[in-house]
This record gives sequence, C-alpha cells and structure tokens, in this order.
Amino acid sequence: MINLLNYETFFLLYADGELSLSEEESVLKFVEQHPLLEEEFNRINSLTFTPDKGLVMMDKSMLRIQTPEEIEPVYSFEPDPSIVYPNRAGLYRKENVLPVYWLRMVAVAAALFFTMGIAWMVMGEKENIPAIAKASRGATSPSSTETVDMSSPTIISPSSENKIVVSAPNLSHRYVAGQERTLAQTASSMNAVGTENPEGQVTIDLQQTTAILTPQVVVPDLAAVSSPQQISVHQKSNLSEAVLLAVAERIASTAAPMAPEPNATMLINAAMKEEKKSGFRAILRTINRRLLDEQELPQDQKFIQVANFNIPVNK
Amino acid sequence: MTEREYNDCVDAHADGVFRFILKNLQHTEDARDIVQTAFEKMWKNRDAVVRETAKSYLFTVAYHQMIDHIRKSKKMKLTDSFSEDSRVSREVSPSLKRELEMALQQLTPLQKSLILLKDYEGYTYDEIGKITALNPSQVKVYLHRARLQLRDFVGKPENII
Repeated sequence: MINLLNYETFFLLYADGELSLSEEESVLKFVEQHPLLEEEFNRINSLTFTPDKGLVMMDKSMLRIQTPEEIEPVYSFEPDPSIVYPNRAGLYRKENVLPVYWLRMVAVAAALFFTMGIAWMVMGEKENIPAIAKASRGATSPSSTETVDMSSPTIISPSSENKIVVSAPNLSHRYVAGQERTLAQTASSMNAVGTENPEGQVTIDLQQTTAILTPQVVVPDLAAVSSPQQISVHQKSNLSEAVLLAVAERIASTAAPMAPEPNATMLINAAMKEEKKSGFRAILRTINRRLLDEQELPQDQKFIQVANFNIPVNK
Repeated sequence: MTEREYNDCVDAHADGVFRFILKNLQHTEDARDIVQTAFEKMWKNRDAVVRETAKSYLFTVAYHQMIDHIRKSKKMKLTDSFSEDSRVSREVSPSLKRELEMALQQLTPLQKSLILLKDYEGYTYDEIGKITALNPSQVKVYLHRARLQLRDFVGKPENII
C-alpha cells in the first residue's frame, strides 16, 4: 500500500505501467490527498519517452527475403548458332591408333600372303623340277633323252663314287626293292615315264621325268651289291614308283656296274644346292623323312646317306 | 517461420528495433548493421522462432549485438553515474523533450536500453529481463534508478543552463 515512505516507488511503477488498475487508483487518490507530492508525481511521469515515428529504417527492404511471388522474371539469352568458331578443325586431337580399315587391309594381305605361302610350299616341289632337270640335262648330254642300258651296269654307276644320281630334291616316296611287287606291275607303271626296249634297256626320258617327278634318285653302288634282292632304293622322290623300282631291279640284274658317267657329281651338287635353297621346306622334309625312317626302316639295316637319300646296303 | 512471416516481422519490427538501437548508439550506420544482424540471425533460426516471439527475439539479439558493439568500441561505461565530462559538454535544450534526449545519453547503455524497451516498446519487467538477461527485480531496480537519474538531470538548474 502506498504511503509517504514508498510513494516514490509507486510513482515510478505508475510511470512504468506496472500497476494494476486498483493500485493506480490508490496512487491517484494518494496524490490527491498529498498535494505537495503532486509535482513530484507529474515530474516522474513526464520522464517517459515516446517513440519517434518519423525515425524509420530507410533501407528496410534489404532485410526482406524474396518469396517466389516476388522474384522478378529472369531474362535468359538464347545462343546464337550463327556464331561459330572458325578453326574448329585445329582443335581436334588425333590419336595414334591405326584406323580400322587399315587393319582390315593388313589382315587381308596377311591372309593372302599366308595362303600364297602355303600354296607355294605345296606347289614348290613341282616348281623345282625344271631347274633340276636343266641341271641334269646339262651335265649329261645335249640330248633331252638319256638311255640307260639296264643290261650294262657301266651306264649307271659313276666311276668315282659308284653312285648314280638320277634326280633329286622333293622327296615324297620311299621304295625298297625287296617289297612284293611284280615286274609286270612295275613295267606297266614304268611306261608312264620310260620305255623298255626288247634288249632289256630302259630308256627314261629325263625331260618327261623331271617334269613330273623330283630330280634326285640315288642308286647304290651296284658293285657292292651281290644280289638284286638285296638292293633297295631308299629314295624320296616323286619319280614314278614303277620307274624307280624297275631301274633298281634292272640294275641289280646286271652283272657288273659300268663306268660311271661324269654327270653324277654335278647332279648331286645341283640337288644339294636346290636343297639349301629350299630352306623351310628342307626342314619339313627332314622331319617327315625322319618320322618315316623311324616307322619303316629296319633297325639292323645299314644305309648309305647321299644327300637326302638313305640307301640300304648289305653288310 | 515462413518467408512470408519473416517479411511481416521485418515490416512490423524493423523500425522499432532500429529506433531502439539508434537511441542507444546515436549512430545510424551502426544501428542499421545491428538490425541487419538481428534479422539475419532470426532467419537462420527461423525454425525455432515463432511469429509471436519474433519481436522479443529481435530485440534480444539486437540488444546483445549492441552491447558487444559498445564493448568493442570501448564506449560502454560501467558506472551508473553520469560522468563529469558529459555534464560539462552537454548541450542545453530549452524544451523538455530535448532535455530528456540529452539526459538519456548520459545513462549507461543498460539503463538506456531498459528505459527505451519500457517506454518505446512497452515491455514488462519480465520481458525486459529476458531480453537483457536480467531478472525482473533487477530490471525494476535498474529502471527506477535510471528514471531517478533522469529526474535529477532534468530538474537541476545547471543542466538547464
């Protein structure tokens, strides 16, 4: 309750508006009852401040948050396709990768080359025949036909080495004289490359033979052969089987070898030379030959190897 | 608090906060910066601020920003009494209102804040206590002390001259 001791506090509370209505009425009644305190009461109440409405924040808009409705439309610019970079080609980067079409061409070329190589290897045997045939003909006689007298051993065997080389390199067959083969069969087959006259001579046309067959045939030293059954012609040639067998048998049936012709060594050299030239084919032939040797050659049989031929000899 | 509610708060309370700070600092740019900071903080905490408490929140933040600003600028006077220099240098105003304005500037920032919050915004002691981190009794004591200082300042003849 307001009195003379606490009236100042009630005056201040009244100025602050912290009094209830009843308390305010009691204060006003106390002031009326004490006129000397009325000036003090008015003075305290006059010390309040009122807001200056003219004092406002000028740039208040900067505090606002733009709502989607308030956001102004944003002007966009469309690209002008007519404006192009003049040197675009200079910006490209080229990778160090071969183009596909080039790889295809290389693949096709490699396939063709491989096919041609295979064909050349297959057909190479026949292609070598004319060269050897020429060597054979040049070493023997100007004539393209050489007559071998089967009744006369001097015709076939060379004087120095007791060998006769008829032709050489491309070997594909092997004959053994001891095989079961009738003379009639061999004679009939022989007609393909040679002729037999009534005197027992077999005339082998080397031109025809070399054109068909490979050029190296090694005939063993007939002088060392005791019987025709012991003679075997181990040759790897594309000469006609019948011709080779007939030649071997006829030679074996003769009494003694004749003096050798001088062209035998030349034929061997020519065959060796061609063999060296053949390169990869020689390796293949060697492998093939050894495989065949392991399969068919008898273990106790001795052979004389001349060039690519192993000629079995009797002990 | 949505964007719209926030903008409504700007329209409703920005001027009041600005006046409150400006009366304390007597510096327009500083007052504007403090108001801006107060609204930025309210926007950041808009999830925790509801529309009904937005005004109190703004005044609270602005008041503390102002106190920090005063401390940083070393303008804050920790004494409750008027300084001798301020009395000498104050300008004499013939009208009571101007005299009160000058008397107000002789108060401490806390006293000014209490008076302005009370007279400008009509806050209760409890609300002022929340803004100024005081209890209502302290608000009452400090506020009454400030008013009596104003009374003494205005009523003395040397201050009028």
